[in-house]
Amino acid sequence: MAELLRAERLVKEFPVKRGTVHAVSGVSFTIAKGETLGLVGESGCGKSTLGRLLLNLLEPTSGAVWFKGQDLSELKGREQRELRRGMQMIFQDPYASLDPRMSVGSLIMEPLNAHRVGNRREREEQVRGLMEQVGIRPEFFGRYPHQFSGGQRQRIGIARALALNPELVICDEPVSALDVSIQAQILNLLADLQKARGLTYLFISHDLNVVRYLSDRVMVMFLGQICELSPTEALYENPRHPYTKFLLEAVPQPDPTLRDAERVLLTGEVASPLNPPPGCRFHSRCPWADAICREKQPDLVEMAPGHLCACHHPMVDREIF
Amino acid sequence: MSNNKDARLFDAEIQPNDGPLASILHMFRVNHAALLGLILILLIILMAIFAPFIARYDPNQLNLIEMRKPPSPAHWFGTDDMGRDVFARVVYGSRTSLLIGFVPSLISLILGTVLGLLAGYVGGRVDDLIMRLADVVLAFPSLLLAMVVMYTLGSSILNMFIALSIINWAGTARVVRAQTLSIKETEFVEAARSMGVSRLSIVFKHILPNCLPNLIVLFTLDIPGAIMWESSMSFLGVGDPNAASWGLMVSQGKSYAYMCPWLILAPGIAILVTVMAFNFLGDGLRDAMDPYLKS
Repeated sequence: MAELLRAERLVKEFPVKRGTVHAVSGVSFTIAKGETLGLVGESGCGKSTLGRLLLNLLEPTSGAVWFKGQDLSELKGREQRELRRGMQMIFQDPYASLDPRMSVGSLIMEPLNAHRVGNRREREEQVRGLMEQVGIRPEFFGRYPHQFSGGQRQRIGIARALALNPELVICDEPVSALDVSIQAQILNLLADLQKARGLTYLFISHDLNVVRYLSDRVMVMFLGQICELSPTEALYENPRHPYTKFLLEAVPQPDPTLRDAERVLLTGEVASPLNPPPGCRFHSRCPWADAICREKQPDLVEMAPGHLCACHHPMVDREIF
Repeated sequence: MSNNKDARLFDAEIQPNDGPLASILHMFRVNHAALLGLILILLIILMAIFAPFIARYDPNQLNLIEMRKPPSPAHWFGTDDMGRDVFARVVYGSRTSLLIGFVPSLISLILGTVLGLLAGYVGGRVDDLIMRLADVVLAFPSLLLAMVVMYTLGSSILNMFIALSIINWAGTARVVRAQTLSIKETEFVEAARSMGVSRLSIVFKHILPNCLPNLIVLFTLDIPGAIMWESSMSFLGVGDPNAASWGLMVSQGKSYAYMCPWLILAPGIAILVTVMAFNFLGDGLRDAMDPYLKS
């Protein structure tokens, strides 16, 4: 498959009073056209920061983002804006990401206005078409966001992201603010739209079940670094990184009769991104950590075709205990 | 598409259409003080416009035979120390006082909004410069500052506008700057940036509209403020001596306060009613605008 986006050793550090927050530390990966790449990790591991770096909403401290074969940081002004049209974002909180003072129609029209697409009539036509596609009745053109439920608002957010016909959509936890019953509808809508428009998704979430449902490949992040990147089934069936293993162990089992009383959960504190430990960033919590883990950062290496893992002691069919 | 069905399913959840205008109308039905304020303001404006039809006398017509007469059927509010009809002067004075209320408030509203947006959105040195200037203005006692301006420029109604605008813009600029700073960081502004919306467009389509409720309230509270300042300055003798404002009437009547209380009571009550009417309306508008933002 053709490469659509490439991140090269992306680093983002935020200076704060007591030092530097290492939000993203040297992340490299590619997204192929048409695929869905899932991105999972716990709160504060740099998922959202990474998404914003790709869109250039945040300036990377170092590293580069290549989109459609062009280095985003080398383009200026209008050229960058033009290229960035192809990348849009769906935001986490449908209550905060829609301006309460704008009607639904003008919200969806905003990106079209910004890029001067067609004339006023054509834009309105297009907005009504988009509303229909995401399941909002076009009659609601003049309504305001507070008149809609969370799920409907997220549909509006999706329509805005699609207005400019992007190739890549970065979904930043698009369903985590919604009720479970609504989550499924939004996920199905995203899947339908992908099929209809040939979209590529980067799907950021902390919900492993949601990611498994949508993704072709999954990337696991811990403290600003990738620890595992693999085709979805391989990752869920045969995780190589201890952190992935523990994450999967922690997924809640909805059926109480299937619950395993002996479930092993992680202990210990997450190391702070303010002062990440030397060596493997996971070593302070990893039961198999030894001297090398405390000294040397593991490289991301291919363990099986397409299955990358950054660990000195990767798991090979190893039981936790 | 299958999702259309879902949308129909949720029709019941859609609330009736209530934009900002509807919530203001609703506020007037519930908040009677605000409604009273609105009615009084409309009456005062009508009084200012139709002054010649309401007052039977010329407000500047001297009549030394009828000096300092108490209220009577001929002179409803009595006459002043030069025999002028106090009722006519109060009616005509509404013109000056409303002008003094609206014009400087509008100037300081526009000035304060532009400077506040600049300071908040551009930040850095622009922010420092504008805010230090505002600090300087706010550090002076307002009345003193306005009087210095009037002494320097001379007593005229135009200079009164300038003086009142100078003391009022800083407060507006501070409020707008604070709002801009918080709105700038919201997710909907980030969303707009992610779509490639320009900075100018973000300021005018997102930040300014979200400041508007506060600006409307500030404006309705600035108007009585300006009327009060003008009254104080006229009372202290730095107003425009030719403009028959309510403040000037109180000032001129103060020597006869015990002998002829109607000379200060009539314009004093006019000031009180006008200021209260604007305050009631401003409070009501603030209440009407608040929940709309949250829901």
